[in-house]
Amino acid sequence: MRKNADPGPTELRDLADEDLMQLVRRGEAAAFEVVYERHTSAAFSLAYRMCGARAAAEDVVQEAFLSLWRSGARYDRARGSVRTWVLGIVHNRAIDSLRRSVVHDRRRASDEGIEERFEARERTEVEVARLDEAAEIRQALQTLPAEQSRVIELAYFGGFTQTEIASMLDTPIGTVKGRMRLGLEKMRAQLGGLREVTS
Amino acid sequence: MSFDTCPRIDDAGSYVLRAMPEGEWEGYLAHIAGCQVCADKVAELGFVADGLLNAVPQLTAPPEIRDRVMAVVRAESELLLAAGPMADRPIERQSARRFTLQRLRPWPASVLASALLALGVGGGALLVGGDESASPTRTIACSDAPAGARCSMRVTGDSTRLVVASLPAPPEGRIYQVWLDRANGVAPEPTEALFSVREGRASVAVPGDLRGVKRVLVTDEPQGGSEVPTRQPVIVARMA
Repeated sequence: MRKNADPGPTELRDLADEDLMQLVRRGEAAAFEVVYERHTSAAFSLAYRMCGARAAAEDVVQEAFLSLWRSGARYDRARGSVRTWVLGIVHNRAIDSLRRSVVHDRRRASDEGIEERFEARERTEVEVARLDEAAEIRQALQTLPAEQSRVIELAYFGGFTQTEIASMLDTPIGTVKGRMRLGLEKMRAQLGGLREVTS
Repeated sequence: MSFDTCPRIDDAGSYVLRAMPEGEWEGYLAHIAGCQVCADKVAELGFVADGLLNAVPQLTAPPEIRDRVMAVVRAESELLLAAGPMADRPIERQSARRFTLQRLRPWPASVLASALLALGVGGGALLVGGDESASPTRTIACSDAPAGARCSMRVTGDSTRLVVASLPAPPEGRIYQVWLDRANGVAPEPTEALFSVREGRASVAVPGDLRGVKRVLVTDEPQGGSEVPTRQPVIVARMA
């Protein structure tokens, strides 16, 4: 705890996410801003990948970070990194958004072809490491049999339930669930000793 | 369960990918609490699911999101800091819930986030008491609220807050939402004010233009809120 410390902007940027969260739970906006800066692009990227539209992705990210701000006291470092926590919130919000969408317009981001306009420029070593990790995970996903990668993508990035996927693919639901598990097990085996990159 | 496998093992993949329908998800969560095979599988596959969160093409977030988010955060920070050290005290965790969460890491940290968030939505301004400005505060008692709950609207200048105490938490998986009813023959207007309660209490800013609003309503809604109320109001405050 940094009870009496009032770190300035530079000092805040030197703190690990987990230490920043101690300040966030005390209501310190400057600490939250650093957390926001570190993870907002990843959050937006995930939201955009899932929602397939910039406006919807912006709404999801805004809701997610405000929820994060208001629930900072719930963060428990024993259960994972701040980044995973943030992205988990974004993922949940995006799925909620997709599932309550009246139109059920679930176009993927690649359909719009605007990625280039927002393409991120990674700068730090941590970000480079995360890019490597992401590439490894994508590679693991791509090497799965198509029927396994498809159900995983539909569920995780499309927000579809197993029932919806079974209907879309005209496949028994038990088969869908089995493909999900087998696909994830293969990915886990491929990823081997991969460890999460922390700030 | 002490077997090497479990007939529900395939559910682990669907669970960590959040592909289960709501009712089924809760059933499997209860199953995991008593099945080590499934708990281990969820932990193993949850690692992959968490990794997938990062495995999308990286884009730069539009700067206007930052402006909107930080404007709210700075405003709430001022209120929170002014309220003193008790304003952000952590919630006392329930031991049974904590046990479940710890057994299921790392995935439940993500999966259960929305449920945990629900508890915190009102937290930013929670326990912020007293006047928020030099303007006089007008207090309007709610006309309807659950038995035992206390509820009032506090109007200070252009700012209106809904303040509740002893209000039961919303049902599992749901969240309270504030609505503006102009009694003009159309459905109440949804607001972005979504909240739960901390130890029965919450203090929530009521957004939007309240001119012409006859009643402020609160219903419990699915996470993320609704466009039209799906339940009868649990709170009614008559503004005029």
